[in-house]
Amino acid sequence: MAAASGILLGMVAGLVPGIGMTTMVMSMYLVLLSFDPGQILIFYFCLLAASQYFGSIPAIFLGVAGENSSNPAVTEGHALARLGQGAEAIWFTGISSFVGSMVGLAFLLAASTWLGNRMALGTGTTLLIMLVVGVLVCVTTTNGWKTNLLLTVAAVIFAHVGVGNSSSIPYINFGLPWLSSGISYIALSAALISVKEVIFTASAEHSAISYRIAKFKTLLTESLKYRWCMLRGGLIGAVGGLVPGLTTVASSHYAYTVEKLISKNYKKGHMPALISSEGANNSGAVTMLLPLLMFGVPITLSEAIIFGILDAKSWSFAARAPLELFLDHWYIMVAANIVSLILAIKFAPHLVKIFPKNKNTLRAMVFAILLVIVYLAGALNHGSGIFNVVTFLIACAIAMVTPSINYLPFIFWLVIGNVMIETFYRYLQLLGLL
Amino acid sequence: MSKIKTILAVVMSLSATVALAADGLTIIVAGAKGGNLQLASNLLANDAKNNLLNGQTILLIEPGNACRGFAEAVKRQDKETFLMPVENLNLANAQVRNDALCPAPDLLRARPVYTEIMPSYLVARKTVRFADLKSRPFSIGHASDSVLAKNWHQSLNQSFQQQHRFIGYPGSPGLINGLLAKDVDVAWISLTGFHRLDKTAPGEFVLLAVSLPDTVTGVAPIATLLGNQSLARATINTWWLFNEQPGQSLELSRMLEKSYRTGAGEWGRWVVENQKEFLFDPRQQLKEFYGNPWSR
Repeated sequence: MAAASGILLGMVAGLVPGIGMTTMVMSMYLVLLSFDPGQILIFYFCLLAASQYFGSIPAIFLGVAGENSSNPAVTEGHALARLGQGAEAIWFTGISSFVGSMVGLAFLLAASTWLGNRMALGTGTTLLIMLVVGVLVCVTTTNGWKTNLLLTVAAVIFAHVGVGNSSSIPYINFGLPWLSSGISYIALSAALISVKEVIFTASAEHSAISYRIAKFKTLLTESLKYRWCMLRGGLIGAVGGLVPGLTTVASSHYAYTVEKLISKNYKKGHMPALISSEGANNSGAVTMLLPLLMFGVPITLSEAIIFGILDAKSWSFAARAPLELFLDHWYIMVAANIVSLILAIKFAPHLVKIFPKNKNTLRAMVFAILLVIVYLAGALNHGSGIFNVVTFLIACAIAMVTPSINYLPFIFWLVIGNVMIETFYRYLQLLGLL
Repeated sequence: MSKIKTILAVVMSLSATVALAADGLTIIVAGAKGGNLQLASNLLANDAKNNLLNGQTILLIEPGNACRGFAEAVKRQDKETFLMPVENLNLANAQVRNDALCPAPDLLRARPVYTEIMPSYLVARKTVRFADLKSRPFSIGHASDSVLAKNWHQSLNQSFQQQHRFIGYPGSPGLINGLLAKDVDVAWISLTGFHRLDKTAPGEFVLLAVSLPDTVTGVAPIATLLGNQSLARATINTWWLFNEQPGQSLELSRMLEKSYRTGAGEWGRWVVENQKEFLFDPRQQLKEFYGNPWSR
């Protein structure tokens, strides 16, 4: 029951942009309260795993990121789908996600067995990892350094918009109630990444999205060709998953950037970059559990909610907790990954069938879906659906007049914005500068 | 005369029970997502769903943080009946800010149902002694970075005669991470936070002082240690019922006190398992809530 509901809700979180882990955990709050701690953790593990498998489907076929860590998949995966390699992209990302999950599990168990309390990340280290990932994301775009700097500064300013209790962070809101929840990165990501990819940058080589599955044996042989990049993604993702507040976002962006850097002939629609980033976010989705299980330290909002429930049920957070959890439930954890992998590969052809063949109809459909999602994400999360829609439309106009700018750095900084500014101002306090 | 009083009390109590049972009770959660207030609200809602609250149904409104919860309450405080947990420090901050984005609800329209007093403990790495805090500056972690908390930190520094740096973390989990990662060697933390820390790093941290005016299980008050009684503080959560039907808050209070004493239902079990200490007497609640420097 716990595993099935986790996989089911993970599918929804992965497929529907704007519906993240926090929303899913909150929707199950009352049910989770009736679960025992083992069931709660199995639910959460399955939710995280399934969302990562399914997040790549809309990213590759629609050019819409199902969850935040799939932004690289939008860039590379959708380009591959337009070149008629969507089926291969889904297959390889599925296999890579499985490899990533297993690498993540191995990392979790090794840490649980050997590393003990040495795993806590300090403020300075966290900030450094954020900056390194962010700078690498900037460096690997085709934007000039001035553009990247401008995008970074703009994102940092946007991250300060809202209301908060901390007197150390200079929040900007001009006393306007609709700015109290900040500027939604979902609206901006939908416009500046998804709309731009699907609608404004459609090029001559754009072919109708198709799903032609190659022979199983061929795909298996091809998968072996990418074994090192899958492993690399898994290992990088395992470390990225430990970054407080960023977890899978850091994992996928870090692996994506590394793959682009080591590639000698990178061009858009790069299979290894896609495979590595998608494997990395699965690995990160497993290792992000490490601080929670070992120290009782949640590093994301959804983990904080799970933590609250586990705490209420007197769960013992301890260094050996991940190991004991795995020994008790290893077959469910592995099965959840296999089921998610099979479902994601099986589910993709059906999703493709509902896409219209006409490119303009497809564009209109994607735009309409995004519009609804942007509205709902705002209305459900903080009652500002209309504001989200206005933000989205303005950003669409900006994306239309700036076709040559890659907005990935802007979105990356914005997604990590709240955690980043909180960490940054705390670091200033530690240095005695604030 | 006393019979009439008794009859009136019974009638009022019955009418309050009927009113509670007939209409669903709205709870506005004026606290962070995933925080204790949200957890307690959801446990109560679960108990209501399982028919453990005299047939009472509960509708939850969870805006995500204290400011948004207060804004929601201000919209409804003129006419609607609702229950809202209010943390004294959040209320005081809203009163200081005095703006539309974080308005202070009018508690004169409300009656207290139950109250929890939550002291903070000064926790340090075992190599740090209290006397060290008087002889050299430290980075001290804490979970609240509001203006009022900063004023308290300044007063503490004056009494310590040191320039300690106060480092704001997002809640107990962040503080524990900061201590484990050696960002800070000293922190103000809740007792449950300390127990969690001690479980993670057994014997590495010790309790140096408590923020309450009295000694708690052997831990001396900071006010006494520094010879300045005005330094005593505590975070106080009071659950307020706005625009009650006559006797409704008392009825609700009695119902919850019963669960508190017997450990019945999910809320009751949570209270017992976490050794929560609540006040149910209205006068005592008002005294504690308004008697604390952070509530004024």
